[in-house]
Amino acid sequence: MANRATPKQKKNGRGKGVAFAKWAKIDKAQRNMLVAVCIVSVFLGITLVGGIYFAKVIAFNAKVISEKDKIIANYKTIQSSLNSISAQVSEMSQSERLEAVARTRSTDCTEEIMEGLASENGIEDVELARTCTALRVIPDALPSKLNQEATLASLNQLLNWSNGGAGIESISGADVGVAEMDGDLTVSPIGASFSLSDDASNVRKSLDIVERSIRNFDIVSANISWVDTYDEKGNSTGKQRIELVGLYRAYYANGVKIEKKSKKICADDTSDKCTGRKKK
Amino acid sequence: MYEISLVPDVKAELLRKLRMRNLVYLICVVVVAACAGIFVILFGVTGGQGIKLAAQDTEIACRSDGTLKSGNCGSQYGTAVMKFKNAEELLTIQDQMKNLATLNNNKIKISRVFGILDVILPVGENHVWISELNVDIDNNTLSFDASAMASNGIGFRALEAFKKNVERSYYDYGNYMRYDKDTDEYVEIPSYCIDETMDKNGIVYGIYHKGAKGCEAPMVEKKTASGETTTEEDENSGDAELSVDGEDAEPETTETTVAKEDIKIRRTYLSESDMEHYRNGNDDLTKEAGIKGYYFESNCLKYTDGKLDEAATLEACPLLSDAPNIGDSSYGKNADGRLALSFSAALPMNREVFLSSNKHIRVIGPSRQNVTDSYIQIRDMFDEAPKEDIGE
Repeated sequence: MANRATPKQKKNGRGKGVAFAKWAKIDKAQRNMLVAVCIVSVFLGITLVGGIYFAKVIAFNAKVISEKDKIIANYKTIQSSLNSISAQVSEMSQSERLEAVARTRSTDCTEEIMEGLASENGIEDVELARTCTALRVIPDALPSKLNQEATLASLNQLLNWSNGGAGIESISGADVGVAEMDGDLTVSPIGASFSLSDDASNVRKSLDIVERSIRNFDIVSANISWVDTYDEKGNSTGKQRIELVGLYRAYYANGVKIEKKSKKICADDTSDKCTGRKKK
Repeated sequence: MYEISLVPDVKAELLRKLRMRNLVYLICVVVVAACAGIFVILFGVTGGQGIKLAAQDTEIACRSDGTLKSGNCGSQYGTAVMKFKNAEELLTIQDQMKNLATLNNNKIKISRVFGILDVILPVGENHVWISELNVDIDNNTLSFDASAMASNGIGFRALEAFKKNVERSYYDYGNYMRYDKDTDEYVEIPSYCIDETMDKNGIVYGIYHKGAKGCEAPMVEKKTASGETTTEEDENSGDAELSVDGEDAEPETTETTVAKEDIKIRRTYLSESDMEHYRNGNDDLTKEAGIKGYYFESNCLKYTDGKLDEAATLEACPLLSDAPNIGDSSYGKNADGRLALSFSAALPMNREVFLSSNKHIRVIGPSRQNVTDSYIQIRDMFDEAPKEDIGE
C-alpha cells in the first residue's frame, strides 16, 4: 500500500493515515467489483450453457408435441371414421341393391342368425354378416385372401354361363405383375389365363360376361387367331371360328390389421444417429 | 482566477471508484436477474411442455387402448380404437370398397375390340381380314397379321384404305340422360338400362328399358297380392359402388309404380339445335312430345357454329394415340393361286376406348361406325393366315 501513496501524501504526513484508509477502501471496491464481475460471468456462462440446453430440449419437446398432436388428430379421425363406417356397413348389409347382385345366400344363414346380426350399435358380428347379408357381395368382388382355386372357379363359372362353357379349351393359373393404375390401390394380383375356341360372337359374349362380373378380371393381354373347322369327313367348313387366349389379372386385398407403430423423432434430423448413416 | 479543490485526490478517487463499483453492482444485479429470468422462463416452458406431453400421452393411451396405468379414461375420449368392436373387419370393408372404386374406374373392356375392328377393317372392294390379333392392354397396342383382297386387282389399295380408315377414325362416349321431374334436373340413365341399335341410315338409338330393375324401378321387384309389380323406397344409398356392371345406381326416393316401357332415345345429332330439339322433348319417338325428354350427352362430339365438326372431334377423341405402324407388306399369289396382300400392323390405341367407365363407346370411321358394347353378331373379319408362298 505504501508504494502506492501519492507524493502529496508523502509530503503531508498528517493525512497519511486517512489516505491509507481511503486507498484500502478503493482497493476493496476494486476487489469487490472483480468478484462481482467474476460471479456474474459464471452466472452468464451457466445461463448461456443452460439456455442452449433448454432451447434444444424445448425445440425437441415442441417437435414431439407436434407429432403427438398429429397422432391424436389421426386417432380422432379413425374413431369418427369407424363410427361412420359402422353405420354405413350396417346400412349396406340391408341393401336390396347389393342383395340383387349377390350370389344365393348360404342355407346356414337362418332367420335367427340374420335377426341376431344387427343391433342398435351396428352389426354385432361383421364376419358372419359378410357371409349372410348383402355384404357378401364385397368379398366376392374383392376377396381378402389369396385363393387361386376360388378365382379360377369363378372364371370357370363365368365362362360356363356363356354357351354352357362349350368353347373352353383350358383355364389355368398364371403369373402376372401388379397393374399400374390411377389412384391408390392396396391389392395384390392373382393371374389366370384361359383359352376359348368358338364362333367369334360366342367368344365376344364370353368376354362380355367376364367383364360384367362383379369380381374384377382385368385383361392383361389377349391373342385372337383364326382357326379352321372341319366336318366329319375332314373337309374345311369355311365357318369363322376363332381361338382366344387371354391372360387376366384378378385381385385380392389383404385384410386390414390394426397395429401400433412407433416413430423415431430426432432432435437433429441430419445427425448420423437419426439417419442411420455410419461415421466414416 | 484559481480554483481550489478542497476534496483531496484520494477522496475523489475513492468516490469515483465507489460510483464505478455501484454501477458494476447494478449491472451485475441486472445481469443476474436477467439470467434468473431466462432460467425461470426456460424452466416454465419446459415444465409446461412436460405437462402437455403427459396430457397427450393420456389422450393417446385413452384413444388407442382405452386404459391408463393410473386409472380409467374419461368418456370424452370416445371408444378406443383397439376396443372398437369389429374395427379390423370394418376397416377391411372400407379398404375393399376404396379399392373396388379404383379398380372399376380402370376396368378394361376388351370385348370392344371386335366393334373397333369392324370399323377399321375395310369391307367391300378393299376387304381386309385378320389372321392373328394380339391385344396388349398394358401398352395399349393392337398388333395383327392381316391379308387383303382388292377387287380391282391392286392389292395395296386395300392397305391404303385400311391406313386411311384407322387414321380418320374417332370415338365417342357419354351418357343417356332423362329428365327427372322430382329434382327438375337431367339425370344419367344407368348403362345397363340401355341397349343401343343403329338403323339403316346410320342413326344410333338407345333403347331405354324404363321400369326394368334399377331403371327408375328398384333392383328388387315386389309382387302384390293382385299380381301387380310394385316398387318401394330403397333407403339405402351407401351401396352405390356396386351394381350389375359396377356403375352407380340411382337412389329411389318415393314409393311408386313404374310401368315397363321401352323408350327409343336418339343418339346421333347433326347439330346442337338438333340435340336441343330432342332434349326438350320434341322427339316424336319419345311418345312424350311437348315435355322435357331424353337425350344423349356426348363427351367427344364437337360442334362449330352449331354444326357437328368432325375434324375437331377427331382431334379431341382420336381412335389411335399415334400413327399406325404398318410393316411386312407384300403382294403375291397365295396357296390358292390368287393374288393377295399380306401385312402386319401395330396400332397404338387410345386407352379411353377400352375403359369400362367410359360408357356407350361408339367408334366412327370414314365409312363405317359401330356401337361397340352392343356389337354382338360379329361379321367375318378373321381369316386363315396368308400362306408362306406369297411372293414379293
